[in-house]
Formats: sequence, C-alpha cells, structure tokens
Amino acid sequence: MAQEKEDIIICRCQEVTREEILQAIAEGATTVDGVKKRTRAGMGLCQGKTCERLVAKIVSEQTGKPLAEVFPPTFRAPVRPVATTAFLEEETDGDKI
Amino acid sequence: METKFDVIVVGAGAVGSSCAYALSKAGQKVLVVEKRDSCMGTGGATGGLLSWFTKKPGYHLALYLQSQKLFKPLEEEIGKFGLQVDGTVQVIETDMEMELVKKSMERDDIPSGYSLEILDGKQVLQLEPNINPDIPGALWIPQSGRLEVFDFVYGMVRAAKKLGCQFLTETEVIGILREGERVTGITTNRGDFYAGTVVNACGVWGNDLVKMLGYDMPIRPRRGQIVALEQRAPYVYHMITSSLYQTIKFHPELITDEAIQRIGYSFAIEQTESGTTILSGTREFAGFDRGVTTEAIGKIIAGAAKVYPCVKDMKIIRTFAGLRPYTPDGLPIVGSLGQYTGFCMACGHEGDGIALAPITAQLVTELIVNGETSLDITPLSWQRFAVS
Repeated sequence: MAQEKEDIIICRCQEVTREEILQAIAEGATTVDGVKKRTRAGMGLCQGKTCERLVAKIVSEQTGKPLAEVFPPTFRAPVRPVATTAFLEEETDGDKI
Repeated sequence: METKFDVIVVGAGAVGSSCAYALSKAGQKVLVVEKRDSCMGTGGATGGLLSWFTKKPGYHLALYLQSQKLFKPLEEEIGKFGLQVDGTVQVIETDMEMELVKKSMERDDIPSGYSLEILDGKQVLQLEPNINPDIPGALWIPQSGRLEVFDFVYGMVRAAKKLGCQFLTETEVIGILREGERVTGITTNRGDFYAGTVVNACGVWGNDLVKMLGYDMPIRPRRGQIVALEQRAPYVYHMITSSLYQTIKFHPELITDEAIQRIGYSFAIEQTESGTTILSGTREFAGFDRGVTTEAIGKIIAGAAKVYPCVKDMKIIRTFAGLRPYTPDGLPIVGSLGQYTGFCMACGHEGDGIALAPITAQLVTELIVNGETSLDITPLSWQRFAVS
C-alpha cells in the first residue's frame, strides 16, 4: 500500500487532515467518537457519513482494535439533514424519533 | 505500568480532568481512570454557558463566583478554550415574564461588578440584529460568559499529562480497596491501583462508587435534549436564553402548558465558534435513557424559530441528549463520604459541571494536600443526604 499523505483531508466538512486524526489518537482517542470530539471530524453537515469509515480505519490501524469496536455505539437522528420546518408543521406525540 | 499513586481520580469529564490538573499542579502523582474516554458523558452533550444569574442566591452563587474567577487564569495556563464573557440576552416574550424578571431584579445580593438591565425591543435588535423584531424585550446579563466545552476538557487532560498525570481510559472500576475504614485504592478490569486518596468524579454515575462503599446518594440523571443546526456565518452574537427558565425554576405554578412542565422545557440558543447552532433544551427525568423525543425536539425548534425566524430556513444535522447529575438541592457533593478516609466526593453538579469545575478542583486539591479548604464546604457535605 502506498504511503498515505498526512496532510490529506479526511473530513471534508470540517477540513480535518489525517495528521490531525493521528494526533488525536496519539492523545488518547480510541474510537471514532473520541476522534470526533478532539478534532471535529464528523461534526459538519454530513455528520460523518463521508469520513466515518475512513476515520474508523485509521483508528483501527493505529490502536489495533477491530473495526467494529471503534464505531459509535449509538445512532443519532436525523439520517440526513432535515429542514427545521419538518418539526414545525407536524403534530408532536412524544414518540421517539 | 505503575500501580502506586498519591491520588486516583475516577472519571475524566470536566470535573475529573480539572481535579487531575489541579492535583498534578500541586505536585501530586495522579492516575485518572475513565470508563470510556474523556468528554464522552455529560460534558460531551452540553452547551458552555457560564451564568451567575441562574445560580441560587446565597452559597450556590458565592461558590460560582469563586469558580468564574478561576477560568481566565486557567486559560492562560493551559491554552485557549474559547472563554468569552460577552453577555447573555434572556428573551422576555410575555407581560408575565416581564413582571417576573422585574421582580427578580429587586434583590440585594447582586455581586459588585455584576449588573442586570432590561432592554426594550429596539435595544435587543441592536445587540442581535437577526432576532425577531416583535420580541418585546430582554434581560441583558453582561457579565455572563461561555466557553468551548471540548477545548476546555481536552485542554485540562493535555495540561495534566504534561505535568506527569497518567490516564487510563476504557478502564472500569469494579471495586474499592479498603483497609478498615481507609480507602487504599481501586480494582479495575486492568488490575488493582493504590493511592492515598480516591476521588469520585463520576458525575451522573457517581452513585456507583458510593454504593461500593455501602452508601446511597440521591444523584439522579436529568436529561437535556439538544438540537444541532447546520453551520452558518455568524447570525447569533450572544448566548440567548429564555425567561421561561426562570419562571419554571422559581414559579412553576404559573406555567399552564402541561408538556413544558413535564419535560422542563426552556430554550437556549448558542452559535458556537464553528458556526453550528446549538439549541437546548429540557430538564427531565428519564433514567439513563439518552434518547430524544419528537415532542421535545419539536418544542425546542418551535421556541428557537419564534425568536430567530431564520431558523425556519435551516437544517437540523443532529439531535442528542445529555444526562446531568441532579441532586435535590442543586449543589454537588464534595468532600468525604461516611466514615471513610482516603475517599473524596466530587460529583452531582447537575448543569454546573463546567461552571463549577475549577472551584471543585481547587477544593478537592486543598482537601487532599492541606487537609482543609479555603471555603466552607459544609453545604456540599454528603451528610445532608444521609439516611439514618
């Protein structure tokens, strides 16, 4: 495998580079969520839909943890950005999203 | 790795990390043990409001004021965490709210150097040009501040590490080691560690350690639901809060909407440095469930859209909830527990974990290093919740 460039952008929304992600892992991040909170990777408009797998792969490589263990345990709505008006027009009933 | 330390701090959230840093600075050899990773619990799902105005007059306010003084020097020591003391606009939407706000200003304990001012709609627009021009007024709280929570917590972790503090993440405490009434260390899934003092900075999970010592403290998870909106160029310039919060807190009988009462709804609007808008929130008891409800999310968005009409043109990128460690009197538990020596409580801050982290760290460090505190901590004692 070709040597990956460290200044390559992994999270496009927040412009987080591979180097910043490696730095976060060196500081103690062991999960996608840990990288996210330290670097903002995955906090932009797409909420990690583009970069989550790439971040997971880097975390897994660096920490030796299996891929399945570095993904977030919880899923947060919405699946894709949704207009606020979707909530304003709808009657709310206390159900879970 | 080493197994003997001066102090073991359990929990690497805002409070635990702050304690770790303060203790390390005081020359203590510190180990931090964290079940997951720092900033993954309460601090990972919150805004960064620092407000003296929402503290109960008396001890709570005095404690907070001591804490607020410590943020600036801390930022100079550990690096920027987005500290700004740029004021809060507490929106007033109804005549009833206006009356309550006016009444609440008739207090004689407004600290010197702090002020409150009622603004009319025009004045509000000058501060917040994008706010709904029909907003009749607001309470302006100029000495209220905010910070970037992740930068604060990870900054503490980094600074503590530089001073030699060790962190063990993904490490769970499964037992507390004792010799008679002296706590001597902890048992974890990675082995036993020993220290002169074990600090319980587990926040909303603080009672787990308490139970291991045969006690039960009324620390309950109180859920706060939050909505994140897509990033935009700056359009909200101050922290925006609602007078509803004040009404719910001090005059709940005046709230006629059953849902608002039940979920403890009130709004706060904050645009962070990144451009994301954070809309909060609720204060509700739902166990350890960190899920969100359409009812609350709908109320939060409707409230925000009423105050900032442009919210209607924006997209929601995430909804989530945080758990705040509620105690019945709204104050944390700091200091010893029961008959034990070598054990120090530092949890139960509800929504004040960030705001009171610096003073909590100072008190814990004083207790451990000097055996006494510079501030009376009797009101924070475990004994106020002791069941005989």
